[in-house]
Amino acid sequence: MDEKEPVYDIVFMVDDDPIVNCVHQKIVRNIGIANEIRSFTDPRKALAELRSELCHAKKSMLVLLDINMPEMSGFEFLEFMELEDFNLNVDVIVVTSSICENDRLLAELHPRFVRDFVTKPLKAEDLKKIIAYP
Amino acid sequence: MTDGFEKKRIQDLKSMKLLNSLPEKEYDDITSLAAFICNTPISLIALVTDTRQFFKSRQGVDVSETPIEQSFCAYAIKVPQKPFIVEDARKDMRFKDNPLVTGQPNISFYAGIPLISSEGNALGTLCVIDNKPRKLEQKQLEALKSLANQVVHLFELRKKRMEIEQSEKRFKGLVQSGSDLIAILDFEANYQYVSPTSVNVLGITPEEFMGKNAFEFIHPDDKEAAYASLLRLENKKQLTLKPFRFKHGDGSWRWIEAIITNLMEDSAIGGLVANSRDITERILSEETLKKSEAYYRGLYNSQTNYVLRTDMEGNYTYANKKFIEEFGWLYPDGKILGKNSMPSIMDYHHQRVEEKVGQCIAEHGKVFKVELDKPTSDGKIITTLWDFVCIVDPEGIPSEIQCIGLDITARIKAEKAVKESEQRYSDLFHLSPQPMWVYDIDTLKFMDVNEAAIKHYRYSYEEFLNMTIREIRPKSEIPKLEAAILQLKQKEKSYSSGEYLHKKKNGQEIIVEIRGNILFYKGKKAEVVLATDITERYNHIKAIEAQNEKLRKIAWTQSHVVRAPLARMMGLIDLLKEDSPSVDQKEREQLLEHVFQSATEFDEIVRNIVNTTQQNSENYTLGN
Repeated sequence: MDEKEPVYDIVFMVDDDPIVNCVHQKIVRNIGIANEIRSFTDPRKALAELRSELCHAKKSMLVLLDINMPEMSGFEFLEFMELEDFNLNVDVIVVTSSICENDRLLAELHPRFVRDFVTKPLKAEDLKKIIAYP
Repeated sequence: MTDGFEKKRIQDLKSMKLLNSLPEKEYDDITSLAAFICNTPISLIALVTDTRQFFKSRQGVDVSETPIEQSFCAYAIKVPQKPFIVEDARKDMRFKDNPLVTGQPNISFYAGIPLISSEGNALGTLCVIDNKPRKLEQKQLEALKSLANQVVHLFELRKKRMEIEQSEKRFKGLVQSGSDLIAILDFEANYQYVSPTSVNVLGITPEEFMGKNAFEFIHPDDKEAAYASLLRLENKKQLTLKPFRFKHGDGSWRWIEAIITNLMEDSAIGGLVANSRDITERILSEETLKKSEAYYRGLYNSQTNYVLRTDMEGNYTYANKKFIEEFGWLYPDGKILGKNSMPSIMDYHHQRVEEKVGQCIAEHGKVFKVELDKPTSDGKIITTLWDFVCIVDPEGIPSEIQCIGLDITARIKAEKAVKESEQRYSDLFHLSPQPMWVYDIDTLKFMDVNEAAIKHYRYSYEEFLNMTIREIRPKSEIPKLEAAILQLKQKEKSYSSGEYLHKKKNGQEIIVEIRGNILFYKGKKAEVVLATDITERYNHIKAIEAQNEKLRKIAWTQSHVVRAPLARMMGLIDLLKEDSPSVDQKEREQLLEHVFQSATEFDEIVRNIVNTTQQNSENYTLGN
């Protein structure tokens, strides 16, 4: 099982902090679960690109989503996905610095997309477990 | 000759109705044949009574009868089993002086055969007579005997025919007059025949009954019983139907008693014969009797009721056992009848009695209720409830007052106890420092409010009683109220509680906590409510909640803003720790630079928080 097939075609990093994106990028690349990685500090741009990807191809995608962002919160991001009825081949992992239980409950309101809720820092081991990558 | 047998014989003879009847050809044929066979000039059929002999048929004789004294036949029937023969009467000591022998028709020879009826009585003879002596040959005698048999046979035939005629006559008489109605029905109770009496009995002509069914006329309530009886006729010959109601031609219901005979097998009838009679009068009088008997028996035997009657002066004309037992002590001589009834009533009720009696007389026959206090033998006073009614004599003049009474002391006591407990409850209600009220669950109208409610809501007592509980609420609260009332009614709960928004007379809205209990108040289902104004308490809670909200916000900020650089540092350090080949020297330096930046950021945030908290707490202290 050395040559592992990537699980996702594209992984979106959505966090207003570029350093966090940088760290996450490293983790994802190290465990090799994606063909392509895209980083966004503005969630609106990430949403637009995700939308266009869904239009023309049936690609499987993962979004690592922060909550507290100035332009648009992670919850708003999820609500847009819900409203626009995004394809179900988009998985979302909420990655936040929050340790509030309430935030976890809010994330659970979107079970169609949210695979899990992780408190920063994200660790490679956690990620592997969530996407059931051996 | 007037012994028992003779009497029976005469009766038998008379029942034939032959005496004095006109000659008939059948009999004349026989006498003429007898005379021919025996070759005699005279032949007779003689019937012997106790005074004479009558000739039903005669050959050679002109008279139709002779006295018994001259009768040969009277002798003949004395020995009915044998023919009676006198060969020469002129030489016979019994007859030689008989005018019929000495004179016309100069009888010399006589032979008579007794005519024996089916009852065994010798009614007379068939005889042949000659004016010269002679003998009969055996052949002739035999022939005469068989002719006599013929006569007897004719007699029997006549008797049967008469019986038939008589029964026919009797039937006709029954059917055409009288109060009985005879109808022939088939098994489905369709009329086949109805006697003409139906016009008298039921006001319906026989023609109208034809083609109709008996059940069309029977009262709906009596149909079932009549039908059940009819079914029993299948294996019974006759039964009497229980009286049932039948519709008269004039539309009224008449009680009918009917005897039904099953003559299905009888080919002449081939149906059910119903013999009906109108017994309406009887039934009605029986019913009235039954009712009045039951009523009076119930009354007089009653152990709980007092029954008495007085004349128009108030003197007893009747008093039952129960009344005498309890109030007889008032009349020490033991005689209650004729005494005045007023002493058995407490003085303060005398006027009431007089008023009631006045009303009774004004509307006799109508029952008036009156409550009276009476003294008892042990010095107590009991309360009694009476039905007074004025009885009139046949001329319509008031003659007596009938009074039926009951001791209701126990009931009054119970009522008093209830009133007392109500008073206690009322005190509790009116003296409560918290607003309280009672309202009717159906109309939602206030039935009572306490002083505290009047003070708190600023409405007067009168204003409250003209309002419903809807009016002490802002409009927005009405649906909530209605839902609560509905639940109270549907679930049959005995209490309620909850928080509601109320409105005082001045428009000020208050928050109240309501606790209510269902009770019966003045005969209506009501709820007594205790209202506690919790507006102030509520405001306190609101303030605390606002404070909590602030604290929550701080916590959130800490969670996100404070932890952000910290979490970042932890992530970076993780990468540095990993001795992976993917991280080269240059990257390592970059990561360390990020760690430093994050630490600086973290320091700044902590300083900010300390400042903000200090300001807030100062504000809070000042604000209070």
